Amino acid sequence: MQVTKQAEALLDLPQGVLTGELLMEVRGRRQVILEGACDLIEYDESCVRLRAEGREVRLSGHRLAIETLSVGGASVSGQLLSIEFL
Amino acid sequence: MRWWHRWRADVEFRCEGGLCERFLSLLKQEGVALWDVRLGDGCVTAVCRASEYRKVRLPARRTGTRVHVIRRLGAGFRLWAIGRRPGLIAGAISAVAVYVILASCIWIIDIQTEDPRIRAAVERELASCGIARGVPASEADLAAVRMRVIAGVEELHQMSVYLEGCAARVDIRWQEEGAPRPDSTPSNVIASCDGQILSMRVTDGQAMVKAGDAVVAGDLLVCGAVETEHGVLLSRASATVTARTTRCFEAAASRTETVETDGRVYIQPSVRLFWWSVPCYSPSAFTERFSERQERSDWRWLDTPMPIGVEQTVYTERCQRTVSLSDEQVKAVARARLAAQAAAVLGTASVEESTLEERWEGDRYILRGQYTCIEDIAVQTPLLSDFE
Repeated sequence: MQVTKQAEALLDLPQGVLTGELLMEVRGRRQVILEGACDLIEYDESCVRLRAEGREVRLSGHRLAIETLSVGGASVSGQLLSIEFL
Repeated sequence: MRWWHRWRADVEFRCEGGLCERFLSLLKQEGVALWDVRLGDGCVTAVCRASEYRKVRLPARRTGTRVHVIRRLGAGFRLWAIGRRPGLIAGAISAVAVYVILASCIWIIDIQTEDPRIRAAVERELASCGIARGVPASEADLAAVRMRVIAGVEELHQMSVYLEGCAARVDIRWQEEGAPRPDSTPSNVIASCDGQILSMRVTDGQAMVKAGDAVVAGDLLVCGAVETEHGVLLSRASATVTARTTRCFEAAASRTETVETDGRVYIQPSVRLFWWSVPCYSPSAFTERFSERQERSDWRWLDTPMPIGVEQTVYTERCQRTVSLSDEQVKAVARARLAAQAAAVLGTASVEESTLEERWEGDRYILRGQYTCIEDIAVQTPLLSDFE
């Protein structure tokens, strides 16, 4: 892990690219794309809880829906209100 | 549903009861990609690829979730349904095979002429060149066929052969009876009618008259025998001689006219299949009072004519009827006849002046027209000379 972090610093790459950390892309308040392994813990229209990299991510909002769920990541759309790391 | 999902086989399923979230996580760990995960009435619906659906059972059992297929989506399932009907596939393959076989061979030879003598002669020549029914179209050398048929059929003036699907279309122009053949036979140019020459343009031969001369019908205008220092040279004289001419035409009509009208119509249809013609009528003889007309329609598939169709012979009875005309109608008929007569003779000549004289002789109305025209009076005739 230490070696990959050093390689990231040496190559001037964004942090977490080589270590495989959770990468989250937020598109306004309408969509969140999570790249990396994540498990679904809870799913309803107002809350989606995912476990990624040993941490829990909680997405709150209205009319939330999972667009995709695969080994490569997940995509959640809807009207997002908050993103919490628990 | 994304458009590309329609081109593969997808399954939309519903899971209810048990630990739905855990079930979806296990599916993901099994490598099953899910999309359109939606919450329903106490259940969750999702879509996955049909090939991955078999991986659903084990996670469902482990989490106590009941899974039901809602819809099968995509072209894959439609093709699967078709694949289970071998008759349909066999029919489609047969249809394509029939189409390819029919379209790759010549099954129809369509010669654009009404003259049975020329038709038979052209068909004979075509057969000798290898253009016959059932012959592969790729083997036909159309340029060679054209040259050979023109050389073989004397009456043929011009001809073109082209392939349209399984049909070999032959457009021909044959020599009109009495018309001169375009050859290099030595000839003179003489006047076709009386007139005064306005201008001349001689392209071959020696001019014998000049502009301003008055000529009568038959006068020599351009001579095909040209005297040179090496002797007399015979050529095919050619010229455009514009002259002012005077033409007279007479047309008549009477108060009781006999007109020809169409009477009964009889149709004798036949179904044509390849070169067989199956008559669908009872044979009967028609007298000369009936005019005969051939009609033909080919069945087309994908805009390609197929060797299947209907052809019919239409016999129309020609009836003669006597009608009584008023004076105005008689004059109109005479005027129409005079106009038709003038148009047939004058052709492209321009009319400078025309005068009409009319008179009644009993029931007959006679209309006489005198036209002053500007026209080409040059006409070629074979050179009858003593030089030969």
